[in-house]
Amino acid sequence: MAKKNKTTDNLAPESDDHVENVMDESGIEDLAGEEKAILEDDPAEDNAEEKIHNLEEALLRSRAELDNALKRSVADIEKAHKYGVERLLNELLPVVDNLEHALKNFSEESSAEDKEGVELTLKSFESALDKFGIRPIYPINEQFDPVKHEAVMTSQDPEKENNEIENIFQRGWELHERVVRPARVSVIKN
Amino acid sequence: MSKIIGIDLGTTNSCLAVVEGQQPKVIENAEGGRTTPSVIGYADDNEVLVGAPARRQSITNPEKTLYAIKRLIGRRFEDDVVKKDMDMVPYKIIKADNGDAWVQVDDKKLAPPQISAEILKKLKKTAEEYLGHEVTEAVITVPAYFNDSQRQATKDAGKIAGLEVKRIINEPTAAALAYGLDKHTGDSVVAVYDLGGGTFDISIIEISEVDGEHQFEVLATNGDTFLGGEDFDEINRLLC
Repeated sequence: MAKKNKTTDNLAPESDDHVENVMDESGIEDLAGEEKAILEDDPAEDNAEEKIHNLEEALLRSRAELDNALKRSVADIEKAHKYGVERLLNELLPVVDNLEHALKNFSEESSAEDKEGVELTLKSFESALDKFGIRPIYPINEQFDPVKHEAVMTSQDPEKENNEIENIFQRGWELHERVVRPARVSVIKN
Repeated sequence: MSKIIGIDLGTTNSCLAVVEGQQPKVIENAEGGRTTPSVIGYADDNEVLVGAPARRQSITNPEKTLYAIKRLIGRRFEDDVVKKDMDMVPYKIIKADNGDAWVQVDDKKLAPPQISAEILKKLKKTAEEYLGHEVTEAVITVPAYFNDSQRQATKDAGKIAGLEVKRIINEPTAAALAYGLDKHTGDSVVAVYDLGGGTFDISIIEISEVDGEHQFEVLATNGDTFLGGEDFDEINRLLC
């Protein structure tokens, strides 16, 4: 027993010593670490913090980017719906133009019914376009506006004011508020 | 983080794109056009018209409708190109105090970068409306034959428009990049031609691979600064 105790005793102080030693050592290390930290920031810790900061920023940025991309795609789809008929419209406008030409160029022998037929065709065509938000630009007695009108010539008329539209050669068309084709006009320039 | 926009500031038309998901995307302007005419009109009420509206009123306001300003940018008044241009355009080209070619509108003397800046401002606005945030940085392309003064003047135009020009890229190099020629391995020599609205250029480019990176070198470039699609339109009009 004694031997055993001794052994235990022997062991105990030894182990205690060891523990103390370790603790002391680590204590010194800790102190040294703290002192170091006070004197100069631990570069590893600093790097980690910077990394976190950078990552957080990158996350925020990519979130904002995603948000913007979503908004853009919604707007793009809306636009595609709204202006999707534009290409078709560009192909159809010459048909409307031709109907208009036909109306202006009926010979004297043509019957009133013939003319009326074309007139009604043009009208039904226009009302069909109207259902899709397609409206003509016919700026009679208006001031020239380059957003909606294209000046193809200028003319003089002292009785009229500058920038007044004198004549319309070709109607313009707008799809919703976007000008698909400007009205081709002559403008007074005295 | 705001995006950097890419601008092709052309003689006749200009175009704007951003990279979205690694793909370049051309942005439509407010009028729905993928290109914007490089035309600026100074209306009587001091309103500045840019793009299609400016072009539509040009015939009513020829002395104050400026186009093809790219032919003047960064050039001396004595330059042959400027002399040739003077006979062709209805607006007034003048000699600035420093010897550069400027434009006079009414009693205002305008430097070409100031005028080009109006186009860049419009493109900047288009980009901002599309992206939903302010845009302050851009990359602008210029012809390979542009000298330092022309490149600097293009940069100045960006600055006036509120854009920091991160880089000036040669147009044929940008075309080669867009065409994916940088994806090819090894060295190659390609010809890039650019038939624009007002100019026609051809460049021979050498693409060399150095440590996996592609380097572009314009070996030779030439063209006609007074020939473009608009001239074909004009011929068609005359023939009709």
